[in-house]
Amino acid sequence: MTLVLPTAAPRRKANFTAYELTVFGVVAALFLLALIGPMIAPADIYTSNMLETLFPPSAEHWLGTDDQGRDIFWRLVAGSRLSLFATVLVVILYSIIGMIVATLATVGPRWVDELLMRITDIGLSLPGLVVSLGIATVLGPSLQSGIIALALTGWPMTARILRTTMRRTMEQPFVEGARILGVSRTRLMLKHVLPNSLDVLIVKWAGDISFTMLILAGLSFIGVGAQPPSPEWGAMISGARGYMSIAWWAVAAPGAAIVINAVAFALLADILQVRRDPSLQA
Amino acid sequence: MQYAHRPMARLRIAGLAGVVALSALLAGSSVFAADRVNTVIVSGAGSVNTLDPIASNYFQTNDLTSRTYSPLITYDVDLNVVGDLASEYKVADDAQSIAFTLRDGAKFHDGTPVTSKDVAYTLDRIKRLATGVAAYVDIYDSTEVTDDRHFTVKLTKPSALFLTSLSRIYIINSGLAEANVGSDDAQAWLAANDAGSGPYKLTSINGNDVIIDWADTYWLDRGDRPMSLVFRRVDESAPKRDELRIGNIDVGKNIQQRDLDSIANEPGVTVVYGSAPTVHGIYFNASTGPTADPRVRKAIRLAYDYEGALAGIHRGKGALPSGPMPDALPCKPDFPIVARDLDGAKALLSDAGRSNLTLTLRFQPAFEEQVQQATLLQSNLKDIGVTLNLEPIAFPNYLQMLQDPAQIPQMMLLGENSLFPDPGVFLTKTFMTGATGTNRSGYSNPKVDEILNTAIGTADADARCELYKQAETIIEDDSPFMPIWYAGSYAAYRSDRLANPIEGQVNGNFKPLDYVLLKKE
Amino acid sequence: MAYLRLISQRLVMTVLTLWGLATLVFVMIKLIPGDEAQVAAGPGASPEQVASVAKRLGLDMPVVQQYLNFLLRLLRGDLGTSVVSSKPVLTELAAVLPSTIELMILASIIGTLVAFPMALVAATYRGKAFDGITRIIAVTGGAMPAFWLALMLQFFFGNVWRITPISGQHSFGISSPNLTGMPTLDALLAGDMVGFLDAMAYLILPAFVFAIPFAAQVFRLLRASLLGVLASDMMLPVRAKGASTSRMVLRHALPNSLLPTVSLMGVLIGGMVGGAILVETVFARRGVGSFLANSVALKDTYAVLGAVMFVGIAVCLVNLVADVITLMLDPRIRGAQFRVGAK
Repeated sequence: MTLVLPTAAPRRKANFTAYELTVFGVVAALFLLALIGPMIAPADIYTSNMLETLFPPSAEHWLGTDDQGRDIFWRLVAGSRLSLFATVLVVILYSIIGMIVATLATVGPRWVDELLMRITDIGLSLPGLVVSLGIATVLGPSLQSGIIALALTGWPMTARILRTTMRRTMEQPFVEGARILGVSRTRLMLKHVLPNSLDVLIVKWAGDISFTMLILAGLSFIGVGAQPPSPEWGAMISGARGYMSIAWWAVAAPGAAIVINAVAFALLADILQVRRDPSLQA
Repeated sequence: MQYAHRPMARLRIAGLAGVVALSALLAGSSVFAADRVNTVIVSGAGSVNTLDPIASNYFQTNDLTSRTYSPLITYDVDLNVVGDLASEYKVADDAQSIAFTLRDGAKFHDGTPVTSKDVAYTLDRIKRLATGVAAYVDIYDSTEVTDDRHFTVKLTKPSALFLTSLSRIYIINSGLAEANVGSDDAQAWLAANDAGSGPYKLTSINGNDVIIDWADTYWLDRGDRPMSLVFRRVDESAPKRDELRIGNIDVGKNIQQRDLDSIANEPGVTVVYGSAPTVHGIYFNASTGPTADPRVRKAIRLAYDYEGALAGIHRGKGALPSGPMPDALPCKPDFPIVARDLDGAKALLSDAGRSNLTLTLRFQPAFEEQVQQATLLQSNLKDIGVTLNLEPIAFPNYLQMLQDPAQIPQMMLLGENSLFPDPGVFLTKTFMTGATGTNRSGYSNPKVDEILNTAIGTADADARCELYKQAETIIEDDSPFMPIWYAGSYAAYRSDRLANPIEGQVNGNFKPLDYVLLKKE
Repeated sequence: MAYLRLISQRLVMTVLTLWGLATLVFVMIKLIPGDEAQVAAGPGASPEQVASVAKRLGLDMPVVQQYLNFLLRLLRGDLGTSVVSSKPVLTELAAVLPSTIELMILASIIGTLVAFPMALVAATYRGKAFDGITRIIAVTGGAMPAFWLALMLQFFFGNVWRITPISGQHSFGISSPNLTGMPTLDALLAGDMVGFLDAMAYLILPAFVFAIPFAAQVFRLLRASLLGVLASDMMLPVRAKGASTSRMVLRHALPNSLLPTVSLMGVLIGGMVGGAILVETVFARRGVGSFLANSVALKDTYAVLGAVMFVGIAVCLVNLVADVITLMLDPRIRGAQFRVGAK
């Protein structure tokens, strides 16, 4: 066979294109902003000033003011920690649940595997947003409820993917060798199989952050997530939609912030995916 | 939307009778479409869950039932009681019974005459079911029927206020209700059917539209009133504003103030304002917790930016509050308007020994203005060192909490309506000891109780008025309620089609607004 | 028949899923703070009424018995009663479901019409400018918050440019007789072209809001799958014969890529029901989503949970149908891998 198939192509070294570097840079900047945002935002983003309500964007208020006379730009900056970190927290939480489920399914007896995977299948079939909405309603509306609800509904896909990878890793020669050397099952799992399976998740995480951010904002928009005066972006849109007709910037700005984040992470996921599977290369 | 059996039934009919049924239905709809000229479309928010007149304490229901049914009495422009279904009425000297004579020739929509039996049925049913409007007539005892047109309503205790409360008790056709009594005292049937004698009769409930047509059985001439009224549910404010601008609707209700301002100058649209039947404000829990201390309540009252709230949130329409009772009610003393005084507030708090106070305010997130009012209070209270948590609550859940005085929320943001023009009704239900469910503060002051009880037994209106003023003065000083603003009533309507629905009319809270078409030149 | 067995396996799985959901909903009902009977009886209920409601709902029985009763009630189609309207949740949902279905159908049609040609062209001209640009567009389209997109489209098309109606389902007086609950279909059945176009005008913006992420996902999967087939061994003889790229894409790659795409479309259409919660309220449309959103706004927890159950059932059924179609399209199918990731 003389044809070189794309899948057989040698893995490229880490020389990144300008486009990829841009995406990495934007993602890093977003993280940085989330980290320092609440520190650099002035304190009066929580203080009502009824003399300055609904000002359009200007040199003084770059993105205008909201119905309480608060500066929208600085609220977005301060809210970036809430929005991004809450999203990341959700992804971390459900990844942990997913890992536990996958590990138990791999290590445990066959009936545990069977049971956990059936539960996973059930979880995969349910509409995540709708079930989260139900859970958050029961827990009472707050950002914490939203986070818990999404963590409880998000794990099945992670568990499913991890279990498949773990099974495959278990069949690798080095695992077999370790087992012959008398390494305990638990130790084997924690020290060798789990770390070796994680690289599959890293690609997934970028996409998950993008996706979860949209759902979390959606929960706040319906009113079961973050509550006023929180500058969480979904809650800001929810609060501003009523007066959109006379102050569209108050809706457009937080939405644009969500889009920038979600797109950045989606592009990052796309890049990582292509790097793992070059046949998708454009 | 709630009447699922209709479309399904239609589906079956169409399946069986095919083209015949289709064309019949089509004909029905085109008659309606062609009559836009004689139709007035009123668009408000909130679902109409039932058209059972017992639920007329609920605004969306009352909007319709007040037109499809008739009460015994109503009001004239000067807020005096006048007969509606009753042509004559006489309160007994002991104020414990009222003798009525029914209007001659009053008929229900099915043509049967309105009789004493129907009135007795209606009042007895309300007493049996003890829900909705039952709260207005809780001292009803029984009805003594003399003949078809004469009867006496007896009360469990004397009250000069009972008569006025009858303006929201709509008389039901007892024959129809009994024929459809079901297992729930006809509640299910009346929810979607009409057994009234009002000027309009229920024609159809179609998704978000409820259509009522002029009833020829009504004792008055239609005159320039529209042939049909359509009540259309649109929850969002902006769409109603735009529909009004292009003439798709004729009257818009529940429109945000800023949207009203933006259409006020459009050709063909007019926005008019009337007296305020509503006071927006905060009920404190006056019986337990930190808010049981009047100094804490007064401190919070002094911390709020009332002018900013009225100007920034309500666009300056309405009025700054003076006293706990809405503007539309008579007998209000001249209270000074509370102005923001942070130093005074802090002094009161330290006097009460409350530093680092944390309080919780409940509000209804469905109302955008409440979210804004609450957010502003949260910001204002920070200035006097009080942390305010905001907790959303839905009205049904709030009502449920009120049932148990131990569960009354610490602070609750509400728009409080006056439904009857006698201040006594408002004051006794809101501030009398033990008025469970409506005394939203758990407020109790024996002095106030005594004054109000005296007023209830006082037949002379002027003397009553003086007593009300005394009670209000005590209540204002105790501050169980923090009024934020008086919301003026308004009408946003197509002035190229309709006459001004506020001018020369009784406030819409007390009596349904009469929509009258402009005369064609 | 192999696939009859697979379908019956799939059916069993669906039943298990629904049972799992029912259990979840039951647990949530039990977790709601407050007395269930008091809430169900309504705010004004007397202690006697509350007691009788508790008896009727079987709340005086042990929890296991209550759970079984709950499952039995579900089997009878009893999804509970709304506290606010005192009506059965199922009745209310059945009345508004067609409106949601109408929206989802139009959205999937638009999404498919956009995604398929784009993916085919992108795969044919792989690595060219069109491919790169469409990929970024697709990523962006998939990362739009639906409710925000809805608000922005409504504002600019409806309020500013006044091209489309702002909200609602049809204009005054052009409502056709309500036969199916879908305004467009009703108008067509009545032969009313004006009514049809009117209803379509109201439908088009919300449909686009759903179609954009739908198209983005379908595009990405179809493109990836087309490229996968093109790179596989089975294309070697075709390539050796010197077939053009476009011919390879259309004749060979496309048929082989349809299966995962149909499966994904099933998942996405199911997901739209969830998205409807956010979008239908913005456009003030009747529907399952706006019912849920309303119930949430009114804190009508029982209605919310009833509707969650309903939507869960609907989504499971859509997935089941998509899987059955996949099975029928593909007689070669082996094993139990019917599912393509939703995310």
